[in-house]
Amino acid sequence: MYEIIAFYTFSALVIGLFGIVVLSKNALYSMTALAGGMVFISGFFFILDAEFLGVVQIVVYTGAIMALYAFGMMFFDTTRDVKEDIRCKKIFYTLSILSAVLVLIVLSAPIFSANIEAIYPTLEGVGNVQTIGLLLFTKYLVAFELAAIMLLVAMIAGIVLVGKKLDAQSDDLEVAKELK
Amino acid sequence: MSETAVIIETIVKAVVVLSVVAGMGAFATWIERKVLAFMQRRLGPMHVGPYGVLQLAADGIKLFTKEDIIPQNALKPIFVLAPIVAATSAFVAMAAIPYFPEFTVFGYTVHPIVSDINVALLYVMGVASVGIYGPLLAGMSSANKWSLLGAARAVVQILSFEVVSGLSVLAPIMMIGSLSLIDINDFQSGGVTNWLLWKQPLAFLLFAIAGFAETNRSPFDTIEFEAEIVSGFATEYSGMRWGLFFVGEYANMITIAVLVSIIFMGGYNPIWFIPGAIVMLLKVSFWIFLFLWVRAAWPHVRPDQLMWVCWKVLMPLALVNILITGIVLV
Amino acid sequence: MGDISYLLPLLFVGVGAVVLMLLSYTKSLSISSIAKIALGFLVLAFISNVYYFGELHKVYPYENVFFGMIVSDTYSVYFNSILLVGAIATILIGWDYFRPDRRFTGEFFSLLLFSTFGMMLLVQSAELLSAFIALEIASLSLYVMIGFQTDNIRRVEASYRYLVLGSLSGVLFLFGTALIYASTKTTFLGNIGVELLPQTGKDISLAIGGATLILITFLFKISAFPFQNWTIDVYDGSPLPVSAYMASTFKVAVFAFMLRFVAMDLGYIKDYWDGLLMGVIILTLAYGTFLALAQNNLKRMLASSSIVHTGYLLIAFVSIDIIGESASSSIIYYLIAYFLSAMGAFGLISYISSSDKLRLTYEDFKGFSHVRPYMSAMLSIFMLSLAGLPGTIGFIGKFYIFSGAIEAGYTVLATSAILATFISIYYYFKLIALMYFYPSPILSNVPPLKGLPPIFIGFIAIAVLWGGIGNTFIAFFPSIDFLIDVAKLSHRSLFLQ
Repeated sequence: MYEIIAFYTFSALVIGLFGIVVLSKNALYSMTALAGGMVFISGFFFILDAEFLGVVQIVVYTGAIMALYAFGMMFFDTTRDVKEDIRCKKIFYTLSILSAVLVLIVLSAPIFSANIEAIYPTLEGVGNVQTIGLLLFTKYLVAFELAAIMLLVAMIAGIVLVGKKLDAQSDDLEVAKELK
Repeated sequence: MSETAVIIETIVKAVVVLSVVAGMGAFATWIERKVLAFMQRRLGPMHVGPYGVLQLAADGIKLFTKEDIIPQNALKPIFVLAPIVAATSAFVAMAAIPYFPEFTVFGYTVHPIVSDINVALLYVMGVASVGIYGPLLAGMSSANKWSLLGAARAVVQILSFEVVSGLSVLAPIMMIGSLSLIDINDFQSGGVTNWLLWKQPLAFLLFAIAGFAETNRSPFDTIEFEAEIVSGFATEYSGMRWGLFFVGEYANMITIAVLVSIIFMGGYNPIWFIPGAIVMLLKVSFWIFLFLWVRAAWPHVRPDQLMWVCWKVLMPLALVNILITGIVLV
Repeated sequence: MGDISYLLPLLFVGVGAVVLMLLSYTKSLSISSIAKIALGFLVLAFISNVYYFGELHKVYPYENVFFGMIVSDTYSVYFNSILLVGAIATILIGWDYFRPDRRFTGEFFSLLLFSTFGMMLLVQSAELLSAFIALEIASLSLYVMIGFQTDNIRRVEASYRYLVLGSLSGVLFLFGTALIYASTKTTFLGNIGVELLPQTGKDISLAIGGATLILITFLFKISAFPFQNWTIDVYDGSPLPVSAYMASTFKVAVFAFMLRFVAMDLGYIKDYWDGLLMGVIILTLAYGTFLALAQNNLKRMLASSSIVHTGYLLIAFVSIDIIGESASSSIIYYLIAYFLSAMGAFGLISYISSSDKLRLTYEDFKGFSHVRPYMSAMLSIFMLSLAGLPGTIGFIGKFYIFSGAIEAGYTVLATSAILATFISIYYYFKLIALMYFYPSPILSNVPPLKGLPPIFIGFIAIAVLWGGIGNTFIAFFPSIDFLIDVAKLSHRSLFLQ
């Protein structure tokens, strides 16, 4: 019974918070709600006894990604409302509602059509971490290691694209100094 | 045991942990003033109660009754939320920490841990990292430049040092093979020589340094350093809201002290004739004292020096430590 | 040599990329010496790859460690050779183009090698997840290579557009993989096909959906009809050698993976796609032809004609389950033909425009043959090959594809493709006519034939001709027959146990 209570509490919180994310006009409200929603999503993992995924959800999304978002947002005045410039609201709303419904159908179709059974049921006495670790470092080792290379490429990409702009800016600053 | 009983037990434990730690936090403020005073050849608070013990009650009353000011341009809901986030995340993180060995009261075995999950260490560090939103939201919602600077420093500093603390603690975890704090504690049973401190001195040092930085203690208190950015993220805060930040900070200090004691210093295993609970209390007290000692003894560092030391010294050291541990283990 | 020898090409490229990354940090090496180092790594990889060229084999290197996620067979060796030649060609034709004053730095070559690494991995991956990551490695580096000159707004726009659309299509790939996994409980190529056999009596509608999503990613990456809108602007916005690299090499890699996936696993599902694919092909041909006719800029014309060539390739792709071996070998062969011709054409144009920031239109080439007769001869060869005139490698490629389509019963497709070819003669020959039939030249500051790029482009031109007439004139000389034999072997190696 408590599981059900917990589930519905978390669901209500998550839906409410993500609603704020979408509907709020203030970027800071949205970010706060998104971070909070990410924390509460981890609640579902805890209910399912998948503590590892739950913690990873908190660490990765709330602890790292959202904090970086926030860092980016510091460059703007977040205490003011954002003016959205949507030219044709009808198309915008239709498309977003349609795609939401589509995602819902796609995700719920397998649940309604067939019983979903776990291929790798959790083993007694073997924790989440071990199971995930075993899969990652045996069967999916290559994909796991390749992901590291992908991140390396992304890092180089980011540094190349942004670093050059910083150079140019510092050049500009020097020019400005000389002009003075 | 029925589900309801578990729930009730958990709630009781949570309330106990919350009140005890909050009380300890408040007490620690008094200790801090006393210790700093003695180190600086002063007496510290002396007038309220014997040796000024009741000073903390007086401070509490002052904080509660102070006028609650919210700046005009601040974003009110977030401004109100920020200190709550700071305090809550600090306390929620404690849910997975075992404080004492289990004991029996009236034939009923009590596990002094709110929830024994098998990824406890990860959980504690993960949830404590959510505490970053306290300063962050406070700084961003205050509509004050000093606050924003403080928030920026908070994000940079805490995120960076989370990397160090996470990597440094990885080496002991590799030796133990479990993330459960109880397993980590049991691994070190059997005397002082079994402490992980001797096997992982570098990891211990790195974790301690990162702990100082994450709890925003001197010498790494760049987030609210008065001489540079007034009071950082807390510039606009007063009264109870400011007090909540304070409580969160002390709760974090206690968490770090407990973590270091469990991971590196043998946890609550008894030494000679001293029972485990007392040992644990002593260790935690020592660490709290160390926090204060360092504050009294060392000047603080510049933010850029802090980042430099984090990414160019501490993180590579942590990685090398992991590598060496791996090689030795294999 | 053990398993490592099958991985050497990948290792050389990957290690080379990391080494270049570290070298470009020091800033002490000039860009041309970094290009030389990159070239060295690629050549090493190529040599270690050619060692197994044409040898029928299928090996899962280090199977106890990699669990069969990476495969090395005749097929992958064949495609890896094309990809490596593509990367080498990109560096060579851009030898004068990648200059520091254009804000090219050492990281560009690191990204080029990373991109090649991703493509080779895509060709060698025997599993959907690692294929996705390989695809993303290749695309990520491409996005940055396109927008490397951040001071040029058109480059940044092209890069950004490609990034947004490319990521979206990547997501579809991942979602498709999830659906396939939900239906077949595996992501390994080969096993999926077994699970999908009608004998298992399973409901495979999820797998069909998943495979279709992956097909969409594939169609996007090769710019087939409904997903072709990005092509012209992105190709036009990229630096020319990068356009050449995208048009030839990246397309080859994506085709190689999809061919492997369809041939090994989706033979049964492909029946559901027949109507869909036929529509896609006809529209791709029509739309690409229309676009190519409308262009005045040479680079944009080549970009739109690449859409038409995608259409030709897809024809063989459709007939693969009916005439399996000859269809896939004709795809493989056509890929080489298109690769050579497009690389040559893009390369030559980039060489001509390397001296200044000229955007070359048809008009600029009026009377070009009087200034640079050799260059116009080479350009004509590439145009002839792209149009598919007899005597060039393009003709043989088209011949195999069209005859295969007729053999498989897709007469409609063959007819429309031949129609598209006839129309294409207009926009290819327009250039040749302008070059030769006007008296006075317009372009004045064309660099003379000097240095590495022209020599290399000359080689490509010879290869194009040799592929077209070599086997008829020079008997007993390894020629396209050899390539086609290896292509057939490659197809067979897919089904080795």
